[in-house]
Amino acid sequence: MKLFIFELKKLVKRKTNIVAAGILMVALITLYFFNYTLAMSIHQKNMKKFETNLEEIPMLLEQLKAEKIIAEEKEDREALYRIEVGLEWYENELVESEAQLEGYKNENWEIVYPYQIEDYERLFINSLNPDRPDYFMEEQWGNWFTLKASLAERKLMLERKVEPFYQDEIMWPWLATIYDNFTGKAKQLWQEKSTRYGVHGYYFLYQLLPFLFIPIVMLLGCFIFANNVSLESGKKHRGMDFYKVLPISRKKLFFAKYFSSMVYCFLFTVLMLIIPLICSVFTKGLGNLKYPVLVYDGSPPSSMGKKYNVIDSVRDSFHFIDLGEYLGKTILLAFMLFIFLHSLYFLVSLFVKNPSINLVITSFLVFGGMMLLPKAAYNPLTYIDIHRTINQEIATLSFFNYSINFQNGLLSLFAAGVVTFILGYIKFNKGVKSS
Amino acid sequence: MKLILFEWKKLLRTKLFPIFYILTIVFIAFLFSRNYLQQDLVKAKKIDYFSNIASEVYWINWADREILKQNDDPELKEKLEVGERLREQLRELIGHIDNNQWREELQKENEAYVSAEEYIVVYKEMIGLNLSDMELIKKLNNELLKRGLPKEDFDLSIQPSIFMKQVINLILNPFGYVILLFVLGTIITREFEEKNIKMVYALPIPRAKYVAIKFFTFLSAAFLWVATIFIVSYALPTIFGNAEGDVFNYPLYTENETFISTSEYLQQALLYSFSFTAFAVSVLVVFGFVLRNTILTFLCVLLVFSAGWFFTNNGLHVFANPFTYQMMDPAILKTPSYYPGGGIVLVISITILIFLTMVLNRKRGIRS
Repeated sequence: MKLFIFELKKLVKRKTNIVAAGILMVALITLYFFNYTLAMSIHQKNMKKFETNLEEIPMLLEQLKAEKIIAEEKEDREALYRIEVGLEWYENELVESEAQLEGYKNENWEIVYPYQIEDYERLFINSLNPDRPDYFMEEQWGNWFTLKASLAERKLMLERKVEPFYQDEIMWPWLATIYDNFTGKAKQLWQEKSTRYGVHGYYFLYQLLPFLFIPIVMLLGCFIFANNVSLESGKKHRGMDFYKVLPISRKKLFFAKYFSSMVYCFLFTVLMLIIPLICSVFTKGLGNLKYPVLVYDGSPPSSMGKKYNVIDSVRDSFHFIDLGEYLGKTILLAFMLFIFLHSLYFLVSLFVKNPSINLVITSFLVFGGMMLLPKAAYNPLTYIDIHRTINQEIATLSFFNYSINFQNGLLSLFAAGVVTFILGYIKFNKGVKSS
Repeated sequence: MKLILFEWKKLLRTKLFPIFYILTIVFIAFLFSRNYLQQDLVKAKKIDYFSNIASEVYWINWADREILKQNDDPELKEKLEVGERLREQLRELIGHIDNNQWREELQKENEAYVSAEEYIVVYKEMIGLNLSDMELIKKLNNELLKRGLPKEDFDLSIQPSIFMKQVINLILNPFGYVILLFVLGTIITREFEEKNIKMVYALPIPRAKYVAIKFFTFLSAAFLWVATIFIVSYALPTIFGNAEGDVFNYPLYTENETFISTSEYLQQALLYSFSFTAFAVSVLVVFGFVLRNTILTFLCVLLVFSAGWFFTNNGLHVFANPFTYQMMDPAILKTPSYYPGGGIVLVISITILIFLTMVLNRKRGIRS
């Protein structure tokens, strides 16, 4: 225990570690506020769209009223009917725009959601083709899955009274899914329309998770704190040799080194996850944990074989889970991932004395393996992407292999963590060569 | 000169740089073999793409024919004619792709797109093709026919100039530069951490000169690395590929939909990659000599390059920003007018950074 506390003390006394961790925290805070600025500029842009509507519609109404007088004089029934329909539509649009602008200004989303749901439902009803709905980007059609998921999401948001993400679209705030297959300019436009910015604490975390935020933060944490063996085995820093002449067993030393770095890496990761939440308290708050998170369900497996289990936007289904449940699962999976990544980095650092090269090698092993190895239920590298594990995207795209799931992820990562830990222990006991 | 050679010796003794250098060559060779072995996939991808459109058109035509069997509708008959023509052209196009007749393929693709445009107008039905994208492809196909070059798949090409473009974009990006700096940087920070620098400072070498020596050593190593990337990515497809025509005249679209040839692209890429590499090395030298710590230096390098990439992608893609030139495709194709001024921006930035390092390092002592 004394040795462990001594190692803990050594790590915290190394000022570099504290400064490095501080720099990363400041970087994350900067990222949060940059994202906040972007989100707010999109919010302003959306309000501007309604304001433009409110300026233009009265002019169009005046114009139509003037046309109506002329049509009445000429007794042109056809034109009169067309003008009446136009007048009704624009008057309705005027009322809706006023109400929605008010909703946007006060961020009273309960006013806004019903209009958006109405727009989606109109699109839903008017789409007569069973293969694809009537929305499109450039000249490419959308798909039923995205429309159904976007509509269901809005309804749940209204029901649960949750705040939305900020998005550059006022009528149909699309929820991007794996079924979107736009190409060329349509894809670019779709990305602009469907990109979401979260300013509430939980939402910002949810926005970062698909970009492998957690494994990246963990690896950086290891880069800062998990070099306590390699940095003491250099030519000039022979701390490890010093221990050899003391009456300390290697076993005790290993546990002290391993767990002391683990404690700091863990604290660093936790802090990096908490920082956005703290920042959000000064802006829009933490957000609502009832926010619906899309989970892909695919379709029942094909009787013709595994390779026929391909995604189909008409047939495939989905459901939503609460953001709270999503974040809970994320934390559990992240904990197992942490044990694995820390053990792996620690193991690599027993072979390579240079922290930056350790980071490069571990990153290659982890992210390279994630991309190149086949996705399988008991392959721990499948679960590096926590977000896509929990929303079952990986499972759905791996021919509906739903054994790639949260539970198996926990098991595989834990097993991989234990194996790398044991390998590290064996290597450490054999002796770490000074370079 | 002797000092630079001495620094080179240090660089080689750490083994990291030679390993990294060899790994880069292995990566390029691996990429080339992958592209070479997957040439059939290029064909299969194209056939799959056009078959999907053809099958969609086929079913619509079939439904129309069924309606026409029951009652004669002249308007529908006319529409069906367009549909049948498109379907026939797509069938012929697939045949040309299958038989590797690239000239006929390009001509037929253009004809099919003309019919597809008519089809979209007549049927008011979309078949997965953008009108604007089709226009662009037609223009490109005509240009390719004029220049006598077959169309290339940018992800799986073994044509020298396109393969070079692919390699440059895969390696010379923020990620590649950060790894290069990780490999090179240890030479500076380790000297401070292991106190060898005390010995160096005891020698009659001005500190500014020592900074310059480090800079030029790293620069020569980094330039060797960049030059190797260019040479290997040119040599492999030239020796093992079977490119047709004037390969460096391949037309590439810029953001404002004009063409530049691959020779112009590579010329610009040469300037930007060498000058940005020099800039990256100077960033490393600044952080290395100021922070004098491996972990802090690398975290700062990592953050600076990530932030440079992030802000460039979010509105700061401007002439005076040196990070605009860290990714070749956006730098050249998005803003071709920045050439060759971009190089000057980088040279100015390098000068400022090196001068800054010399000034900051002039009076600072070494903490024991």
